[in-house]
Amino acid sequence: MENSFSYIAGSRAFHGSIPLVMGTRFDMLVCDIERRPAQDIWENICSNLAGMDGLLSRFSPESEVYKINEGLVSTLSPDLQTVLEICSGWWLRTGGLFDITKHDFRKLRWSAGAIDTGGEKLDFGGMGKGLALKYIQDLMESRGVTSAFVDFGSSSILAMGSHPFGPCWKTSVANPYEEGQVCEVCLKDNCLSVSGNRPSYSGHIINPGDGTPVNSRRIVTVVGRDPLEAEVLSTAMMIATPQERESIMENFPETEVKTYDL
Amino acid sequence: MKETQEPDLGLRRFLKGLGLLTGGAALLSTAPWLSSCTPGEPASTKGRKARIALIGCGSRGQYHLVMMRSIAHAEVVALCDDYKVNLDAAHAMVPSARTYTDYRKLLEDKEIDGVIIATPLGLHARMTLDAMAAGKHVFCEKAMALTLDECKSVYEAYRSSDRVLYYCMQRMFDEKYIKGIQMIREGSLGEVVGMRCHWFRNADWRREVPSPELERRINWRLYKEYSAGLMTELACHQIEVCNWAIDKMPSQICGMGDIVYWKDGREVYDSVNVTYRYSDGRKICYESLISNKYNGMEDQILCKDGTVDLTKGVFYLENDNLNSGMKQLLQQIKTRTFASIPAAGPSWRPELQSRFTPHPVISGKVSVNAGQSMVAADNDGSDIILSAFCDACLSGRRAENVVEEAYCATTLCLLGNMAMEEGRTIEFPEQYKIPYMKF
Ligand SMILES: NC(=O)c1ccc[n+]([C@@H]2O[C@H](COP(=O)([O-])OP(=O)(O)OC[C@H]3O[C@@H](n4cnc5c(N)ncnc54)[C@H](O)[C@@H]3O)[C@@H](O)[C@H]2O)c1
Repeated sequence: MENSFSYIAGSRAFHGSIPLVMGTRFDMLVCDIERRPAQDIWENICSNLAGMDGLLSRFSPESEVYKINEGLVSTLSPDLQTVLEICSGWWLRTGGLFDITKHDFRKLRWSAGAIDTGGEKLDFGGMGKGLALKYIQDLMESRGVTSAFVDFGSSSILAMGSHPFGPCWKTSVANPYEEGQVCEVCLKDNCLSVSGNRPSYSGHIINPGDGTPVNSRRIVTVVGRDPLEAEVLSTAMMIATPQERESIMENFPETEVKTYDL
Repeated sequence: MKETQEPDLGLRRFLKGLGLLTGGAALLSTAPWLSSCTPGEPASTKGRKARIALIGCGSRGQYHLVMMRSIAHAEVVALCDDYKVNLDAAHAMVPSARTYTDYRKLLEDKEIDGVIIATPLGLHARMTLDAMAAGKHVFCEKAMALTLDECKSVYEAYRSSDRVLYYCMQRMFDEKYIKGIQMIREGSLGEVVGMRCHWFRNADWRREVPSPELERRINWRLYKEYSAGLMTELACHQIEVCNWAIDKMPSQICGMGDIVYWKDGREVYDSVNVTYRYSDGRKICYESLISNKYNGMEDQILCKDGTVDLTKGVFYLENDNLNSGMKQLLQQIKTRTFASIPAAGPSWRPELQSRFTPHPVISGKVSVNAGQSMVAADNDGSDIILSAFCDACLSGRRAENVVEEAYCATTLCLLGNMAMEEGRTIEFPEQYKIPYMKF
């Protein structure tokens, strides 16, 4: 996995980037930090992202998910089992809207060490970045990071503390259909997840209920404390009917969801 | 046997750079031939020097002699050429070496462990077979042989022998290729959908001839008696890389070849366009022309989400995120200002793009071969593969798949010529298939 980083000594800031991981780009800016600890964090993140990609990738023939999807193995590693259990929880909490099979999560059966997919294919695309950001959030907290902005493929953003020269990390969400922005959010010790279509990339979110792709010109933003929760909810809210949205969000009073139909 | 220190530093440095010394299982599945030269081989090899002879002291042979100087675990003990000028030149480079004008006499020399064969293509098969029969390990220049039948006999002789045999397909030992192919195989750029390779030069491919009766000897590349032209001399390396990238063999071949510009009595094409088709429809689009060099040399593996140009050691993403948001944020930090960061939006994804940014496949300095030299390019893996061969002369360990890859690539090149000459689409002939091939 290619990565690059630089330390801006004058600003005591560290910028690291990976052009391609989990199918997208990753950027991290940490402020108010010495070079050495920043680099340690960066190395830790790089190796973890590579590891997660290696576990969850649908495309790498080496990955466990690939092998399971291709029917090459029916064994299940403890790591992947943990991820599946997390997904199972989110499937329940979103009333079945967040579904890593994009079809019928109930067909999946697993126990310690073994999995039967029941013909379903696993796709962790809707939660991988959230899972990674959650890891990074924990890591940064434990390392005492006070100011950082992490951008995972523009759709998942983690903000630690605030901008060194401002009260928060002010982030604007672009309108994919025309020049301009959809909204601006002030992030501080929380995160933002954006889901939606683009003119050239539509229908990648599937309603597991009826198998239809969501093609609406809709953007959902979720701002909350937990990056994984934000990631999952932004996808689920793309699919949800207004009633479903209300009943699901009742369980997340601290989390802010906005929907923009463009 | 002379004392020597550590195994060759170049080889060690190379293996270390690849991460093989610290356990590189995934790498070994990408390039299984490396397992033969990873350290930990029989202790008997420690402190010995492989005794190497060179047959064919022309330009490539002399280049190998230069490389041999930095390989500590080997020494050049004998030289052979039946053209005095070149033999003398090589002898001046290694005065201690014994000299021969008949390679069969050289093969009788018991004090030789391995031979490097750097003669014209038409001689590769015979010399390789004779050398293996004489109990020598062999490092032969690519391509494998001039005809399909010769390839088959060499392959069979190799199968029934225990000798080490290497073909100088140096891309297989070039870090940027190995890492690039690993990246492709891991699927991080999506499925491979096609391959485009080309090699362009603007030169007549001739060498100066001191007197006319030497024309065919010295300019052997231009005549069918010794050479199969651009396909075996240039394409061979590139076709191997394509098969390596997707671990498959094409089953159909068609193409057109002509002498477009250099109408100087040569017999081989100076312009070839060949298409290789795999059973799943993927294709190699191959082109070589030696009267225009604008396009240079490229080995491009085209994937659904990106392109790897293995010659340059770079990859391009179909949809690169220029990430202007992060750029603006960095600017803010440097200028101590606070403003909105235009970073967020629906997940960055397929978008039509006109500008492609190259990303390096490996870190550090990358040597790029522009493909314009007839002899060699530095740091292109040639030194490493030679060093690995010398190592194998001591350990006796054969390199997995090297001969098979050379066989596949050479037969495909020869079939490319056949398709062009006969003007038809050729199905890979049954009688030349080997178990290694996956169609
Ligand atoms: N791997 C690569 O990238 C690469 C690069 C250049 C050349 N090559 C290969 O190296 C080989 C040699 O090419 P070259 O450019 O050095 O050619 P060359 O003409 O410079 O050298 C060939 C030598 O072989 C000698 N020779 C011919 N017949 C002989 C015989 N019966 N016994 C002993 N010696 C004999 C010739 O006198 C000559 O000195 C070819 O197979 C070529 O394809 C490979």
